[in-house]
Amino acid sequence: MRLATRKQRAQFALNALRFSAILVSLCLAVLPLYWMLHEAVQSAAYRFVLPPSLLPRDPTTSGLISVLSGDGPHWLLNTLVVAVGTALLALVIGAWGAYALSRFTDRGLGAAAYIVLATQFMPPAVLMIPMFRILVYLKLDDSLPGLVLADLVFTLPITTWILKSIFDAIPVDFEEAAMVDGCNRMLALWHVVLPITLPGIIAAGIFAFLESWGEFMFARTVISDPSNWVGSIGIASFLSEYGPRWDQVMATAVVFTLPPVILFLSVQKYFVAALQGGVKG
Amino acid sequence: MVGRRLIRSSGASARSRQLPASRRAWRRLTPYAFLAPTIVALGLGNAIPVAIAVHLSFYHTSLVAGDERFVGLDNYREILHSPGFANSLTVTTKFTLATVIGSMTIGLGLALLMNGTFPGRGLVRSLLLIPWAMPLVPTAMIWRWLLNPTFGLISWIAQSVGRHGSPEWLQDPTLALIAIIVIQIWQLYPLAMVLYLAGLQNIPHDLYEAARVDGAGAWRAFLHITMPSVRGITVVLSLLMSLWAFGRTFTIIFLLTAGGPVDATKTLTLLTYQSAFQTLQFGLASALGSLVFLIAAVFATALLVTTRSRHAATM
Repeated sequence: MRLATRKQRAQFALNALRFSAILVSLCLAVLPLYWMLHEAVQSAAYRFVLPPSLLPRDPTTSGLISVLSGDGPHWLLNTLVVAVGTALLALVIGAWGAYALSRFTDRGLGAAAYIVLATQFMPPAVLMIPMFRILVYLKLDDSLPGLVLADLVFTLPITTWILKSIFDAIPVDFEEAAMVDGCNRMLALWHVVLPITLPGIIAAGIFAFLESWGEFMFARTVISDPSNWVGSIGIASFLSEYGPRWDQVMATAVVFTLPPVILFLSVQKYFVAALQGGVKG
Repeated sequence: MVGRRLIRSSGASARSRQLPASRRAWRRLTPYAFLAPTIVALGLGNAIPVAIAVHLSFYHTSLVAGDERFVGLDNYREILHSPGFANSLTVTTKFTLATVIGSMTIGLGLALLMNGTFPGRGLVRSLLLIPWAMPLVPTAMIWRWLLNPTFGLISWIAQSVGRHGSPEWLQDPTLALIAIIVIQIWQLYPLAMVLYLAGLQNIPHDLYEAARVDGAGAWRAFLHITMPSVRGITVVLSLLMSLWAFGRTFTIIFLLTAGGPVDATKTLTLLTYQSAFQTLQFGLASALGSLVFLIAAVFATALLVTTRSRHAATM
C-alpha cells in the first residue's frame, strides 16, 4: 500500500511537471498574438499606463474601424491577389516537378532534387538585384504580377518539396493499377492520384499562400507606388514614417494576422499530415 | 506477390517492349517532361539571377547607369579584408547555431510532450503552431512593442521580477542578439515539433516495451531508441534550418534592430541587403552573396555526404 502511494506520488509529480511545461509553452506561443489583439482593442488612453492589465481596459473597435475604413481593405485586396496568385502558380508548376521527383528516381533526378535544395543557398537579397532588372525588362516592376513572380521564385522550391512528400505517401501501385487497366499516366494522375492527394495539395498551396501573404523584402523592393502596397509594406510604413503609431500599427497588424492564422488553424490537420507523410518515406 | 509480377509483366513492361522506338524514347523522357515546368521556373527565377549575380561580383558598379568596369577579384579582396565581414560572419554563425539548436531542442521536447495522451491534445497542438502561421511583419511589430523598454509587457515583467529596472533590450548589443535569436526560435520551433511528432508516432511501441523489460530507464530508451529513430528528421531539419538562418533570415532582424546596435545583429543577410539597397554597391553585394552561396553549398553538401555515408555504415 505504502509502495503504491509512493509510485503514485512520483507519477503525480511527473504529470504535474508535464502539465506545467505544456501550460508555459502554450502561454509563450500565444502571448504575442493575444497581446496584439489586446493592444488593438484597448482604448488609446491606457496604452501608456503602468501596470498593464491582462484584459484590455475600456475596449474599443475604433482602431480596427479606422483601419478598415482607411487603407486596410485596399492593402488586403492587393495582398490577397498576390498570395492567391503565387499559391496557384506554385501548385500548378510545382506539382509536375514534385511528381517526377517522387516517382522517377534515377541519377539525373537525384541531381534535380539537389538543385531544388540549392535554391536555398543564395541570399534572396542578392537575387533581388538581377531579378529586379529582369522585372524592369519585362515591364513588370512596381506591379502586383511582378511581385507574384518574385514570390513564386521564393516559394516554389519549398512547395515542391512538400508536394513531393505528399506524392511519396501514395503507393505507386495505385496509379500502376490504373495504368494497367488502360489509363495513360495523365488519366491515372487525374482520376486516381489527384483525388487522394487533394487535401495535401491544398495544404501545400496554403503554405505558399502564407509565405507570400507575409513576404516583406521582395515587396519592399519591387513595389513603390502606394496603390500597389501590400499589407506588409503598409504596416512597416507606420514604423518609418511617423515613428510607431502603435494604435494604427496594432490594429493593422491584427487585420493582417487573423486571416492567415485562422486559415492555417482550419487546415492545419491536413498540413501536418502532409509534412508527416514526407517523414515516413 | 507472384500475381502482381504477372500482371506487371503482362501489362506495362511487355507493352513497352512492343512499342516503336519513338514511343520508347518518349517514355524515357517522361520524367523530364514532368520536371520541365519546375526546371524552367527555377532556371528563370534562380539560376539566371545567380549567374548574373556571380558575374556582377567581378565588376565595380556605381549609380551611373552603364558605368560598370571589370575589377577581377577586387570585390572579394575588399570583403575578406573588411572588419564588417568578419563581424557579420561571427554574428551569423552565432545566430545560426543558437536558432537551429534552440528550435530543434524545443521542437523535440514539445513533440515528446505532445506524443502522450491528455485531454485537449489536438487543441494544444494547434495553438502551439500559431507562431509559425503569423506573418513576419506583424510579428516583428508586436515583439517590438513587447520589448519596449518603458511600456512593453516583457519589460514590465522584468522590472517587477528584477531589482534593477528593465534593460533596453534592443539597445544593448548582447541582449539585442539574444532577443533576435529568441524570436527566431519562437517562430521556427513548430516546424521541428510537427516533424519530430511524426517521427515519434512511427516508432513501434514494442521497442520501448522490450527496453523496459531489459531494465533500461527512460533516459536510456530516449538515447538508444528515440534519437536513432528520428535521425533522418534531425538531418533534414538541421540542413534546412541552417540554410534559412544563415542566408535567408531578414525581415525580423531588419524591423527590430536593422543590424544594430553597433552591428551586433548585422548578419550576412543584413550586410548584403544594406550594401545592395542602401549604399547601392551592387558589385560588392553580389560578391558577398556569392560568398554566402559558396559557404552554404559547401556546408549542405558536406552534411549530406557525411550523413549518407554514416547511414550506409549502420546498414
